[in-house]
Amino acid sequence: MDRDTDFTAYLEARQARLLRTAYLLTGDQHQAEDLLQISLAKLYLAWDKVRDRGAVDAYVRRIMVNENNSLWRRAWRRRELTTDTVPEATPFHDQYDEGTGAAVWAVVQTLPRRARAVVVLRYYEQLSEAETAEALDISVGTVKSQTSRALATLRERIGEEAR
Amino acid sequence: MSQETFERELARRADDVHAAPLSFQDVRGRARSIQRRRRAAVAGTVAAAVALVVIVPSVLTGGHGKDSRAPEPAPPVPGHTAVLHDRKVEMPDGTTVDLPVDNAHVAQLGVLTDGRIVVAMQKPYVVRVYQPDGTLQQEFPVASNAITMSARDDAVAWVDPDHTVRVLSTGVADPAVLPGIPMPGEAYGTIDAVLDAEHLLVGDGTTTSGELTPAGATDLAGHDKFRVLDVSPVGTLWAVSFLPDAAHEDGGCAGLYDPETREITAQSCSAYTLAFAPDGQHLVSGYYENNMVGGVKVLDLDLRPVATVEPAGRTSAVSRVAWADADHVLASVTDWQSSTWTLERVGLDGADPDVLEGPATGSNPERVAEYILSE
Repeated sequence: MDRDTDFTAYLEARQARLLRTAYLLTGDQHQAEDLLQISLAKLYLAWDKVRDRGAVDAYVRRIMVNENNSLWRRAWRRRELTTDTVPEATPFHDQYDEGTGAAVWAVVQTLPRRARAVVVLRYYEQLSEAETAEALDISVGTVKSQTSRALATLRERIGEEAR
Repeated sequence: MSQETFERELARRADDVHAAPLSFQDVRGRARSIQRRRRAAVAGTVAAAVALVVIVPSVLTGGHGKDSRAPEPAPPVPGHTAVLHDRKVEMPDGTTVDLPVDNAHVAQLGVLTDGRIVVAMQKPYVVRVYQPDGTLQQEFPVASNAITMSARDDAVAWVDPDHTVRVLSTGVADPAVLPGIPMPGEAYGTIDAVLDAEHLLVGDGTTTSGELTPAGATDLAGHDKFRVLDVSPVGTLWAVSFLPDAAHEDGGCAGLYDPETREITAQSCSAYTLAFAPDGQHLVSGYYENNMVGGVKVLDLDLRPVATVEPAGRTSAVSRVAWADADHVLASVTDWQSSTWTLERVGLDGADPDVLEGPATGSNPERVAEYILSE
C-alpha cells in the first residue's frame, strides 16, 4: 500500500471520531473542523515517521492538543471568548438526562484549556491517567488534580442549580 | 456526581457533531500550505552558507508618518536579551550564569534589572525565581505558566492558582499580590502588558479589556477592540492585534495605538505578533507556527518592512527571535531536518550577521527551542 493510500484509509476511518475530540477540546464546531484539518495535515507531513500504525491516534491527539494550545497562545488567532454560558444550541435531553448535560458542558467550557484537555482525554477518549499525562506532557499528579477539580466544580454547579 | 456523568455527557455532546468529511485532497492541500509557510523565510534563497538578513537600509534613515515625530527618549536599557542554552544563561552584558534547567521544560525566560532570573516552567508547572548567581530563590505555583515582563524589565507578572495576580519587582524580595482579572467561571484571564508594578493591562486572551491595579480592575473604555502585544519602552505606543475578520481570517491585522490620543497610528494586515526595539523606533514581527517563527521582519513605526530576517538554506528556519539591542536582532536559526542550530546577531545596517554560537546539533525544533531568548 503506498503512502497516500495508507493515509487515506486512516483518514476515512478515523476522522469522524477525531472531529468529536476536536470539538470537545475547542467547544466550537468551526474551530474543531479547522483544528482537525491542520492536525491531519501535520500528521500527513509526518506520516513516514509514524512507524507504529497502532499509535497513530495517540500521535494525532498529541498534535491536536498542542495545536489547540498553540492557537490559544497565538494572539492573532484568538477568537474564542471564555464564557460561563453555553454557546451551542439547546442541549439534547433524553430519558437518561438528569438535567446535568448543560451543566457538564458549561463546566467544560469554562475550564482552562489544559484542564479541558485533561477532562476530554480522560473522560471521552478514556485514556488512563498515565496515558493522559504522557499525551499532555504533564505529571500524573497534575492529571489527578485537574480531574478532581473539574468534578468538584461540576458538583458545585449542579448544587447551585438545585438550590 | 461522578466520573460516569462526565463520560456520558461528553459522549452524548460529541455524538451530535457531524461535518462534511475531509477529503485526502483537503488535507494534502493544507499540508502543502504548512510546508510553504515553514519555508516562507527561505523562499528563493539558494545560498548554502548559514547567513541571515536582507536589508532595506534607506528606510532606516528616512521614513515619514510616525517617524517624523520626535523620537522617544532613550530609556535606560542596560542591554536587552539574555539567552538560555545548555543550562547556562548568557546575560546581555556577556557574563554567564549556570542555571539547572532543561530547555525542554522551559516556556519563557525573563531577567529583572536586579539580575534575578525568572523562568516559566513547563515541567514542573511553576514560575521559578533564581538569584543572579543561579541559585534558586523561590518557586511559585501558577494557574498559567506565562510571565509578562515590563518594558523596562523592572517587573514581571503571572497568575497564581487562586487567580490573583502576582507582580515581582526589581529589588523586592517577594511578589506583590494584585486582585484577580475579572473573568467568568474558572477562567483566569491574561496579563497582556505590565506598564509598571502597579499598572497592568489585562484581558480574556482575545481582547485587552482593562487595567489592573492594587485597587482592582477598571475597564479600558473608549478604545477599539484589540489585544495589546507589547508596549513601547516609555509607554507612549502600544503594539496591538485586532480580531481576525472575514478578509483576514487567517491572521487578522496588527497596529500601533496611542493610548493618549486613543488613535491607531499605524495598521498592517501583513504584520503578526509585534515586539518593540529597546529604543522604541522599530518592531520585530513574525508568526509562530510549529514552535518556530516564520515571516520575520523588522518594521518601522508605520509598520512598513525595513528588513527581512531570512535564514539561508531550504530547510532552515528561525526558532526564536528577539532584540539584541536597538540596532540588532538576535535570532536562533535551526535546520529542521538535521536539527543543527546557530545563534546569530543581525544588524539592521545590512552587514553580514555575526554567528555567536554553533553550528551544533540539537533537538527537534518542533519540540524544543535550543536557545530561549528572554522576554
